[in-house]
Amino acid sequence: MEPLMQEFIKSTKDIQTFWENRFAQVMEEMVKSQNFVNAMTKSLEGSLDLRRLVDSSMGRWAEFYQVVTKKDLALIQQQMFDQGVRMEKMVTLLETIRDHVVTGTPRPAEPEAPKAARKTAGRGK
Amino acid sequence: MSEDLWQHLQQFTESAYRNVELGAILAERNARSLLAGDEPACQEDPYQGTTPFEVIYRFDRMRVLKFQGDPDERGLTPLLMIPSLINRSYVLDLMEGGSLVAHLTHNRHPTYLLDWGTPGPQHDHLSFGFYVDDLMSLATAAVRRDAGTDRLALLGYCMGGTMCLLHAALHPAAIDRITLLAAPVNFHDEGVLSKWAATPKFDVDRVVDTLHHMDSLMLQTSFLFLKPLSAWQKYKSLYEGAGNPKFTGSFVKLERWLNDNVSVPGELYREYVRICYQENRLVEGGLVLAGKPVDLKEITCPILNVIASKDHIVPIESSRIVSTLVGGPVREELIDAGHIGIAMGSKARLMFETVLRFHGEEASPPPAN
Repeated sequence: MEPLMQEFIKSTKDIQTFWENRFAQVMEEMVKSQNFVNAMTKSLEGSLDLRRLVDSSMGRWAEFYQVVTKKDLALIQQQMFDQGVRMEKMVTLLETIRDHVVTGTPRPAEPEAPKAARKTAGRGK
Repeated sequence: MSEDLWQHLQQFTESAYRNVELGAILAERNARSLLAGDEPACQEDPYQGTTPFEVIYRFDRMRVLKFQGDPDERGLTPLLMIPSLINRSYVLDLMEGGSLVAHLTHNRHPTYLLDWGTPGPQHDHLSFGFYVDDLMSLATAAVRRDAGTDRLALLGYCMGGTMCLLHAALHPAAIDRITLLAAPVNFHDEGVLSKWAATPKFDVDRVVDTLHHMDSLMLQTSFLFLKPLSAWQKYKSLYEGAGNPKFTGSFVKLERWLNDNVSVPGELYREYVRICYQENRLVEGGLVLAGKPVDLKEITCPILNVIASKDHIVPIESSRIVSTLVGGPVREELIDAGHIGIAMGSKARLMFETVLRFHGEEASPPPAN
């Protein structure tokens, strides 16, 4: 009785695995199809349009009441980040020059420095 | 028969209990990440890898980590790992003692990792070229300064591999050798991602102009759709392997990483999709990044190209083409694994040794000019 049951369980598992793999293949082909891509982009466009509508309404409301929005803060943060990048590049360049002076061996100046700073480095040599 | 039945019932109850326990852990993690509000701008992400490290450089949210191990006295070229921008950087250091980082550190190879951090709205305006040229240059300069060398080696996983190639083309003199792990190069392939992103119907401008970034949830959902039945198969394997604590431990770690995605800055996403997926500039040529022309023929250093034969995200041909595009020698290693299996797990161990040997070789001569 027991081997019979085990055989039955094994064959059921095999059938299940076969159909699972088959179904997975069909699904993978489906997501590659142009119809699926079209449907997906269409639904994405719809939700993006809705989001844009909400954003523009909120923007108008904020403008009317002179409220500072997250977008305004993000723009300020972006400008601060850009300034930080410029400063960091100058610091990196200065460190490279310092290493060059200390060790007395030429080293490539990377990342590329602003033109004015590079001229100074050239004079130092 | 009745005893067997009783034993089966006990086993079933036991495995069901373990599954419920695991489910609770995963649900708690997901609930915590959902309930957690916007993190403050100054908060630093904890690195969730397993190897001890020290931070040798930080700029904004980007950090360069140096892994601690016995000091190297062989004068090896330091290796900087570049992970993808859409996932967390600890993928190469996920499993304790069984990761690439652990293997390299254990063998006293000077190893560094670029941790991109979590981008916020202040990074939405940054281009792909800025990341490849400026940010990577800051990180490589920090590694060279720390190691006291003029050149360094790069290792890039997935999108990080593509970035390594582009950075090396812009700064060939600074790079000694490169390892690419499942790195996409030809984006007009037979993969599903290529079919989705390269279609003219996918309006990347509309996405970025509306959302200002590519949301991590959208990215994760689209990756789930690549193999729609994979989630079912994954949880089925968890049910079957619930009695194996090693398997469940790895499962939870991998799930944590898979569900720990980051959003991609808008301008970066726009430029990446356009130049890679839509225009396929790495293969077609005429690529300009941050105002500088990029020619992959400028790369004359040796390259180790590790390809996953069962990769559904980066098909073999997408990566293999690199040997025809660069100016230096390319060694190829085919691993019988998928996109994630190439970076961790039992099948990746072969890759660990190959990478260690490749980076332990004598330094390549610098480019002529």
